[in-house]
Amino acid sequence: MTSAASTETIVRARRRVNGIAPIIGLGLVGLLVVWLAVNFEKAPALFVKALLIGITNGSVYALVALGYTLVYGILELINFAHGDVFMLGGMMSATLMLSVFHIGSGESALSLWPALLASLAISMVFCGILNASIEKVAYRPLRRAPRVAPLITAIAMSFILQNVAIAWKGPNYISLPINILPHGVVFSIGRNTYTWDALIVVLLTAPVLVALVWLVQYTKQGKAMRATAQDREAAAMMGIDVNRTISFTFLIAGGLAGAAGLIYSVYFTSIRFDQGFQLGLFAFTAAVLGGIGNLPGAVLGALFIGLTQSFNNTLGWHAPGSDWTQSIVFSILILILVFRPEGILGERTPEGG
Amino acid sequence: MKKRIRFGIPLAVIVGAALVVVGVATATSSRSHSASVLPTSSCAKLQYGGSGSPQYIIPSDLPLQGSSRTQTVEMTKAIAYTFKQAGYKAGKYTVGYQSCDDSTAQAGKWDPAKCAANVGNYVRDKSVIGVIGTFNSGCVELEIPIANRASLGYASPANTYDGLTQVQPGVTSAGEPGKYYPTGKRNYVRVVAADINQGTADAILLKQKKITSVYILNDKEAYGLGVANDMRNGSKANGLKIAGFAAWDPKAASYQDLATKIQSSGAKAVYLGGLECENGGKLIKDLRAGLGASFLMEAPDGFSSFKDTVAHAGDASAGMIISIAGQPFAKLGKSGKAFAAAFGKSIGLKAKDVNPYSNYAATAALTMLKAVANSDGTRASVTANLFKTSFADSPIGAFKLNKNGDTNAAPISFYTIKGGQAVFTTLINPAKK
Repeated sequence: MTSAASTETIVRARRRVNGIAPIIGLGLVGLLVVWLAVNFEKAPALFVKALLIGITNGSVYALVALGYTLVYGILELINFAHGDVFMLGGMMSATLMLSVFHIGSGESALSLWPALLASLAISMVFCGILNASIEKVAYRPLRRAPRVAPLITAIAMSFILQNVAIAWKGPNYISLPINILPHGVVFSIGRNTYTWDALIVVLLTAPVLVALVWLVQYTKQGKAMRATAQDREAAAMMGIDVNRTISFTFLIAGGLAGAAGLIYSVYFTSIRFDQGFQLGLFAFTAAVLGGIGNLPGAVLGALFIGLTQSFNNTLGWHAPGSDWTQSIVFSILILILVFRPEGILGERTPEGG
Repeated sequence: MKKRIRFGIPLAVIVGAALVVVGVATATSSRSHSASVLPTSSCAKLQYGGSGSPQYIIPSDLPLQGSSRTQTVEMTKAIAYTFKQAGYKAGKYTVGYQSCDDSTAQAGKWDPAKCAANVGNYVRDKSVIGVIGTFNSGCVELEIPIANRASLGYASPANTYDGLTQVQPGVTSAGEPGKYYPTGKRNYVRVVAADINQGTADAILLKQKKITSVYILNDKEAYGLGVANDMRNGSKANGLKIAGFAAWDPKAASYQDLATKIQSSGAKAVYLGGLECENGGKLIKDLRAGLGASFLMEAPDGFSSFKDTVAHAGDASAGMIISIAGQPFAKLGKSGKAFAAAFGKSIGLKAKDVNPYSNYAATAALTMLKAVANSDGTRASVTANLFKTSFADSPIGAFKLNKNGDTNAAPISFYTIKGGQAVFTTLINPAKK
């Protein structure tokens, strides 16, 4: 077979796949909608409960996913250590809440909120500086190396941070009291109640997203970030300090991880050295699902993952159940990479435009 | 310059060779007189109080890191105490004890690679005459086949998975237990009752409490899934409805959705078939929050490290029922009470506060010492003697091991968490039901 003929065969095969992919994709979405509709019809109260749990859990994933997507957007690096920076943020927050501010169950608002805000600020600063330092020490020297080198370094950095956490806090779960955040009822739908602790998690994600979009779209620093993401050399020629801009991006992403760490530790009340890795993978899946490099996409993807987990674990009609949650989440990642690699909202990277 | 180099290289070779020869000679000479010590990368220093060096070493293989640490460290102390009481002697032989760790900090529990590395060390070291362990069934599944080829015997104080020694329909996998004994000869015994007893007793207790349906969870591990399946069989046999059977993901951030599903299933109780170190504290907290303070939660001995369960789950553990194979302190025989009192005193605990698994650890040590004492000093002979074990009284009472390596004593004790303490509530002997 000649080279021209083989190229033509490949092109034809690609066209065939491109033609089939939307049909398969639409078919899957259709099945999903039918499954959700039948479950809603059979047990509406259970469905609403699952929806509320999914939105809350998805909001926590979103904060981590935003950090992933920010870094990928500017450096095209999947920073596998990001989940572990988040985990260290959670440990720092737990330490501050338990050992420094001595916060227990059912604290009064007067003692709770100053402690929460102080922990949030310290955790964000700690994780921001840590993330920026990792960039400077581990990723910057490899910026011109083949892409696999920083990727492996990121994985190595992830394990280093896990071991730091073990050395610091040991291998056991750090448990916080259950009712640190207020548990009062915000609203009720049937027998389902939505409590303040869950709402606080959601309310924190929304302004963070708005602030980030504003930062990236409307500030000088954001313009520098977008320019650096599009073309590093051209940005440098236009007078942008590329190193400073990348460091700033890591600082912001680290700050987000710190905020997520605090929310995770006070809302879920349990954290261990290895929890950042799995949650990081979920967040990475969310970022890919939404369109890597795309900030609203990361939040959308994270909510989708949170809802997928919740519906699968909770609903009764033909739900595979919690035994299959991880398989389902990572199957979604594979399906997205195969059928729609640019994600739901499309990539915002140099290649993605 | 050239001359110096030519002279230097042969000299270095001669010195190196001399060092190797001296080293080998020293090692050979020490081996001929006494037991060699297991590597400190996995094992603590040799404990031996006799004169000279011991002829044999008996290591224990337990997970000393992670959330079961409190319990397992106490177990190693119980074994060391038993060796000391025996004067580091098993009949005419002198024996030393080494505590080996089959966990890693990274895993926070037993680690398959560590288990495999440990058994390699035991098999290679000819002074190891038998092993006390392991704690986790998943770990011993990896160790026994390797030890089996070297005729090295194991006496476990804590493995309860049925498939290690027997066939249980709906619980054990194809090929079990034969696949663990490639030579066709058994080399593993346990002084604790298999999970078939615990699963059945757990179901009987729920029936006694007028529970009509139960939701059964497992942590996907050999032990957790095994005991959950035993519970399922026991529940069916006792007329309980299985409202659901699912796994919990130990790395999940939250189990609120699982609690919602259990609530919607109409279950009146939930069974946590697994280990506390698999995020059990968080699971209890979320289930309690979702199901209410009075909802009945029952767990097997994977949650029997009471201090850790209470520490990780906090107030949410209140009212939880935990089963353990064996007798409670109050019902122990003369040897059991005497051991708990003396051993407890040696580590600064009251007799009633000694963890029940410390009695099992001491009994496994006594079983191994007895087998060594009755042997001709070979591993094969020790292994054969393990299956002849019987005690009229021991720290866990009277028992006899059968040809499968299982005990005939199968009482199951139930404890309830009250005020942060585990309080004995009842005893069920499923064999008598």
